[in-house]
Amino acid sequence: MATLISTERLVLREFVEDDWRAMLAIHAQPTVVRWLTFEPMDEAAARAYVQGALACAREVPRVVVELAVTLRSADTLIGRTGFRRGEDPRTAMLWFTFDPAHQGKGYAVEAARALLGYAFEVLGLHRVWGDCDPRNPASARVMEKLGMRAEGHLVQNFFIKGEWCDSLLFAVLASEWRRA
Amino acid sequence: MTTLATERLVLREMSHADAAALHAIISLPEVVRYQTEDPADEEGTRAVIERIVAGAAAVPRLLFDFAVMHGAELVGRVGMKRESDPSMATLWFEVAPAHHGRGFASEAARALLGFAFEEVGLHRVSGDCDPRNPASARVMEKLGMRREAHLVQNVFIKGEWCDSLVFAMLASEWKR
Repeated sequence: MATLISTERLVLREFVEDDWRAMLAIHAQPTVVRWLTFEPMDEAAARAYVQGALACAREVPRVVVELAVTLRSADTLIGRTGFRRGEDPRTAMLWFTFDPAHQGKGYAVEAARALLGYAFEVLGLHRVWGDCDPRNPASARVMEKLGMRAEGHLVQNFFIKGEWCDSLLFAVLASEWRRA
Repeated sequence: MTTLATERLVLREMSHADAAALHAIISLPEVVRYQTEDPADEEGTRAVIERIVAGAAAVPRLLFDFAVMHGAELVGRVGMKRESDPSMATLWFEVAPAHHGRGFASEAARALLGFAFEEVGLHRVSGDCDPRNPASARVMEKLGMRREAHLVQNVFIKGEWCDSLVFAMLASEWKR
């Protein structure tokens, strides 16, 4: 089922095939993928990414919910946010990536907050967690602003781009979301 | 086939002949209280050994689950499973309640860590336990593993959401 979420300034919608162009423009930038597991995208990678997102959206039951984040005013794709359900499907891992040209306006927090609301209130998830490299404080700040709790610091638990990297862990439970 | 000797214990590969001794341990509710598994019935124990034996034969080998022997007696098990990045693994240990308080879990798990870092060449070994299981946490602390995280209600076990304490050690820390 197609998911559509509106916030004050944003619309989170399912990917469409043509989004590969905007995805390429964002993810070809080395700074954007600096802390991600993949290298800067070329056209083939951007097309493959969008095809992957479309395939995920067709899965039943749906394990990955990843949405394109667009500006309400212009249908400009400025980023993506998503989650993947875990082995226990009542838990999920959250992520978000935004175009640096649109950073500093609180869009990541606004989009991810809407997605968390969807995860807890519509899908009834129990727990959503996320992680980031400690050298990426902007990402940590987004999760803190979402009300996620800092749960730990895993040392050298991930090999990315030729080096062992740490992970900061954040999480929020449905019960905490409702209180917030 | 791997055999590891410590001062008081021998860690050796598990075989079907260990079924009765292993069953005497993993059929006890207090042993599996904080694990995802329920107390094993005999068929369950057979399935566990089946998995262990198959894991030991796999190439590359991802699963290690050793019988912990004290003399001729199987007093527990200690093992690890390599992750999707095979340079990392998660470890576990179980000791028969009759032998608790003798430091067998630490002694066996320390031998496993040495094997993991020095023989297998792993980069990182982690372990987790329920915060209501301080004996398990203490073993990991004694091994010199760092307490890295407290995950809140991250796993549903025996009808309730449970927390996890995460401990880990790196190869570089083992050598120091």
